[in-house]
Amino acid sequence: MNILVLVKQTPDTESRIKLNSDNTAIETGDLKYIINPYDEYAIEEAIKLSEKFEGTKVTLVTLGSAALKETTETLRKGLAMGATDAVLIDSAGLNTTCPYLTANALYQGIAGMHYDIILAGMKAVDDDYASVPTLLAGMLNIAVVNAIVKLNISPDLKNAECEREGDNGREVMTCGLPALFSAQKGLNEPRYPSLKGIMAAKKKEIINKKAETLGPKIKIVKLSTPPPRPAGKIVKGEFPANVKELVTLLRSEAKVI
Amino acid sequence: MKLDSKTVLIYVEHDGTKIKKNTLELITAVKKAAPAAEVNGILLCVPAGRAKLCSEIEKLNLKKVFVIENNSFSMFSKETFALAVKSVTDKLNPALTVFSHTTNSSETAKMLASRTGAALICDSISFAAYEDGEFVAVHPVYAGKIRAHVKFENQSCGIVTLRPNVVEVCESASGSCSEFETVEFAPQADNAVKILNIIADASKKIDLSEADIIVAGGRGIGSKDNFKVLEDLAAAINGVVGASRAAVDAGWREHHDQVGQTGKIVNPKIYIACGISGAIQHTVGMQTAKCIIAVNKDPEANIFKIADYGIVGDLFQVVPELASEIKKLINA
Amino acid sequence: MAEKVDVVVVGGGPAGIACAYTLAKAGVETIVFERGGYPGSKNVMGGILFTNALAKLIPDFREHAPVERPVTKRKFLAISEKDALGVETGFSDFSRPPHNNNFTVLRARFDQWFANQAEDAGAMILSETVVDDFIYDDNKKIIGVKTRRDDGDILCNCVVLADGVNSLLAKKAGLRSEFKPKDFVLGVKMVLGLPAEKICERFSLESKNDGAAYEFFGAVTNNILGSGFIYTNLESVSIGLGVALDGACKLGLRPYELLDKFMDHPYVRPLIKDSEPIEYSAHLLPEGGYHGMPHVFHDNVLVCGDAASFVNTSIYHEGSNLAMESGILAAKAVMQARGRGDFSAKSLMKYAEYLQESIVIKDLKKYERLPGFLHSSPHLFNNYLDLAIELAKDYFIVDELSKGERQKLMFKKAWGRVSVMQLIGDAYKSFRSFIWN
Ligand SMILES: Cc1cc2nc3c(=O)[nH]c(=O)nc-3n(C[C@H](O)[C@H](O)[C@H](O)COP(=O)(O)OP(=O)(O)OC[C@H]3O[C@@H](n4cnc5c(N)ncnc54)[C@H](O)[C@@H]3O)c2cc1C
Ligand SMILES: Cc1cc2nc3c(=O)[nH]c(=O)nc-3n(C[C@H](O)[C@H](O)[C@H](O)COP(=O)(O)OP(=O)(O)OC[C@H]3O[C@@H](n4cnc5c(N)ncnc54)[C@H](O)[C@@H]3O)c2cc1C
Ligand SMILES: Nc1ncnc2c1ncn2[C@@H]1O[C@H](COP(=O)(O)O)[C@@H](O)[C@H]1O
Repeated sequence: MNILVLVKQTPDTESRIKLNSDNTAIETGDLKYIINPYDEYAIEEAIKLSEKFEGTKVTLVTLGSAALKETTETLRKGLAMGATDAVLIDSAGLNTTCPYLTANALYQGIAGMHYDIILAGMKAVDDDYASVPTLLAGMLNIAVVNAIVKLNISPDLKNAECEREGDNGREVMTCGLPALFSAQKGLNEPRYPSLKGIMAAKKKEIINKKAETLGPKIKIVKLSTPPPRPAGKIVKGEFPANVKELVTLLRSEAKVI
Repeated sequence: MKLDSKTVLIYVEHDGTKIKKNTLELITAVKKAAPAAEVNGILLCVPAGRAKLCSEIEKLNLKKVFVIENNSFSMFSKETFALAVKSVTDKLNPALTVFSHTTNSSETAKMLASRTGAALICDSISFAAYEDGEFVAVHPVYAGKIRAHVKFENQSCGIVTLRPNVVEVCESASGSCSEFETVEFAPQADNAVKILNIIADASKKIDLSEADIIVAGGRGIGSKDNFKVLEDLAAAINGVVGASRAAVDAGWREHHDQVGQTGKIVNPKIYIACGISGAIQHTVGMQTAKCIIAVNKDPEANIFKIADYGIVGDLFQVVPELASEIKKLINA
Repeated sequence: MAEKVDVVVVGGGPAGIACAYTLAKAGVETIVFERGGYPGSKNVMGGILFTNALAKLIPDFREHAPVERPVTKRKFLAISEKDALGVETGFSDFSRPPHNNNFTVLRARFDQWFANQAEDAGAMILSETVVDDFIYDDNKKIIGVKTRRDDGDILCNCVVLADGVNSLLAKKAGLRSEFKPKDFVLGVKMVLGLPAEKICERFSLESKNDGAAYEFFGAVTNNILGSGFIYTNLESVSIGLGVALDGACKLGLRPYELLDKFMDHPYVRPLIKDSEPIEYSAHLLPEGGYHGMPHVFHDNVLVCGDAASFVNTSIYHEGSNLAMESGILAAKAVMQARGRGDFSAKSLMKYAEYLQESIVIKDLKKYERLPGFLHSSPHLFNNYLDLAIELAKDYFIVDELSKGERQKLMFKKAWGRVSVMQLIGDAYKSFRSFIWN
């Protein structure tokens, strides 16, 4: 089986994000990067499948800056987990703030590649659009199921059965392959790469690709920081008087109950 | 894209019998950003639900509502729903189609974008018209640490989704709507994705992202059974129970109860954090709550930095007392 | 079968990276294990980087390395509960390259850059990987290390321990004995964000190409052995203090409380007003000095940097340069041993010889008496400083008292607090510890 996994590097979820002086971009100087947490679930799922289906090839695909060392680092982390190959589509000159363009560049990058399934994260924790997988599936004209928490592939690689949390409960569904699935937390527990895996990953070659750019469909006018929360107060006093005081404050001051 | 006197289509969300509050939020937000726009609605329902829903829609400030009835709508399928909406947008050509950013509606919106090629801005928290009249949606990025003000670039039609619970419903949402148009729609048989089953949650509670009151517990709760303390408090104030990732990872709560960067982003009126330390990945998920109350035995806990009110103490003492005091107050 | 490399370096601090850089440049297959998320992520340094060792490796580092500001101005201050008394240096030479080889750095940034240089030179650097133990052969000879990962064993010819203060591996290798609190200084530090212009204004610096280093003694550590510091970075200041661990234990002091108090001192407060806390951290420093040094080599293993207690703690907070220097020397010894195909203790002994000839041992030896002297003379940080401040204050007081009368009173005050014999004794010991030995 051939599996493609879409991975993106995102700033560490613990990072403090600062805006540049004219509020058009963020300061990237000191940022630490991680694999987008949801993409780790996607990689793990792919590797699990490769353990189940012999001869499976797991290819990581990222659209990112080839000039940045962190981009290849991200791919190597995925390779260390057990992916077999990695493709880097250079984002130089591309506008990656528009999910449609991202999907399109990925579409160009994977043209000609074989796949039975494509796995992605359900959202990237930087732009938080959660829409690249659906847009890409549309371009590829394949089925897509987002935010899955369970995946089963039929032995003949013709069908998949999967589950997700919908508004009305847990949805169980099936679709034909090839198809794209985006991963939600709960799908699996990503593994901690073994030393052997890391050493092997360091030596693997990363395939570089380029993509043509198009005009964006959406554009960021500016960035801003949310208004800070005013400092709150610790309700002083001994228990249980402090709880009484809190309830009084909630009614008289905050007026929420 | 400028909305001026252009057409807007609002996706009416409901639970089968009642229109959801977030539909009113959509109307409020659109009316504010584009007072001159012509705001229409689209309702997808099973035939049996139509009368009841339409009688509710009559009280909304919509010009006209397109109604599609079909028995297949009893089970959610983003492909079918998107196709149904497309049958209206193809005809109406709205400049903007607006959905609520709930699990299902946002899926429909994305699918619609994918099928029509229309530009999409997902998960916004407000709309505005810029100085030049350009329509702008504010979309939180980096888990809400930053806000991106996004516009459509050289597009004649766009799709946006708006997070539930972030817009205060105004009078502008209410009015009268008497114009209904029934649209024919035949779902395609060979759906790409087939729903086999929807296993409804037995407790069928309010979704966290739409809840007004959330009582959340973290590692400090200590066990699955101990969550009973929070459930009692939630019951007393008509709230829903949420959890930190630590509590979810420990197996005490389901994943869909998780609040935070890799869980749900919530905007309740009241958020009570019990035994939660306030890690950044958690706080980005709840910091827009109107009133945050924290109970933690560690006075240095980070959660107190963003809480409006805090009590330093043992939650197993404080929370039951809080429940009983609130009950007293409500009953008085 | 576990993989094999030539050299394993444990620890991605200045010592480990300098060692790996030197080895990789010479074409030796080297792998560095760092337990933190990235090199520098776990480091707590004041930090002034004394760059003489770095300049040997990367002469044009100034153009590329993320150093913050050169240190062009130093100030030494004695503080009591409310007052301060200080001397300041302003040597105009230091405002010009090479800036007396003194630069402030933020280690999280600097170490990463340094590690990148080593990687570019060909070293392999694996973060988030803890080394737990050695692998021995049947003759109890070290032939590799065990890391805390699946399939985590790796074989090598030689292990360089650069795992910092409190090196458990040096202990496991039998190179050092149990640690005692008196072997350590506890350091706590905060980085506070401040706009560059504000920093220049408050520390009277001409531009961002000037930087200040303030050292504080006395009440900053509740008058126990130790000192405090404020160093200026480009857009932040590092503020912190180090206290003798034994003293801190005895007094039951919590380091962050001391730091809070320090930051609230009337002299310090205006310097850091309206700053934005960026990070807080605490770390130990070795304080054993020359006499606290472990054996630095054995069959197939070498120790460098803080792991070997190569720190001049007491007055200079100087460690990163000695770490780099010792890392370079370790690499040289390894390369020689490699040439001979012999990594036995006898072959690695060259390392000790190199160290003896280098600034590392020379400096440590110079101050060999200092740690013992300071530990046995806590009153130095107590009586003298407080007295000096009081006397200085008296000197400047303007009131009805005549100058002559005031001076008489001052002498009386002084001799009431210290005896002549004690003063002479302390002066002699200080002289021996600091200047001549
Ligand atoms: C990529 C990534 C994504 C993440 N996403 C999320 C996310 O979406 N949501 C999320 O929540 N976390 C997330 N985390 C995890 C986050 O970093 C924290 O680890 C987590 O939020 C901690 O949960 P906690 O506050 O319940 O536990 P802790 O940090 O352990 O805090 C427990 C608190 O309970 C208090 N306590 C204990 N007993 C009592 C008592 N009897 N009475 C009162 N107080 C008591 C303690 O003082 C302590 O403050 C993520 C982490 C990563 C790396
Ligand atoms: C508060 C404070 C202020 C200081 N100020 C200054 C100053 O101004 N100037 C100066 O020159 N020096 C200063 N120092 C001293 C300086 O920080 C150290 O001397 C220097 O960092 C030593 O470098 P190193 O490489 O030996 O050790 P470290 O920098 O401590 O590096 C050791 C590395 O090894 C890693 N490690 C440890 N164990 C393992 C393991 N088992 N497996 C894998 N990795 C491991 C650690 O994570 C760490 O990254 C200060 C220290 C402190 C605490
Ligand atoms: N630049 C990219 N390179 C590779 N995959 C991406 C990229 N951007 C988004 N994706 C994939 O799409 C998912 C959702 O991203 P988003 O729609 O940006 O929130 C991510 O989890 C990735 O799997």
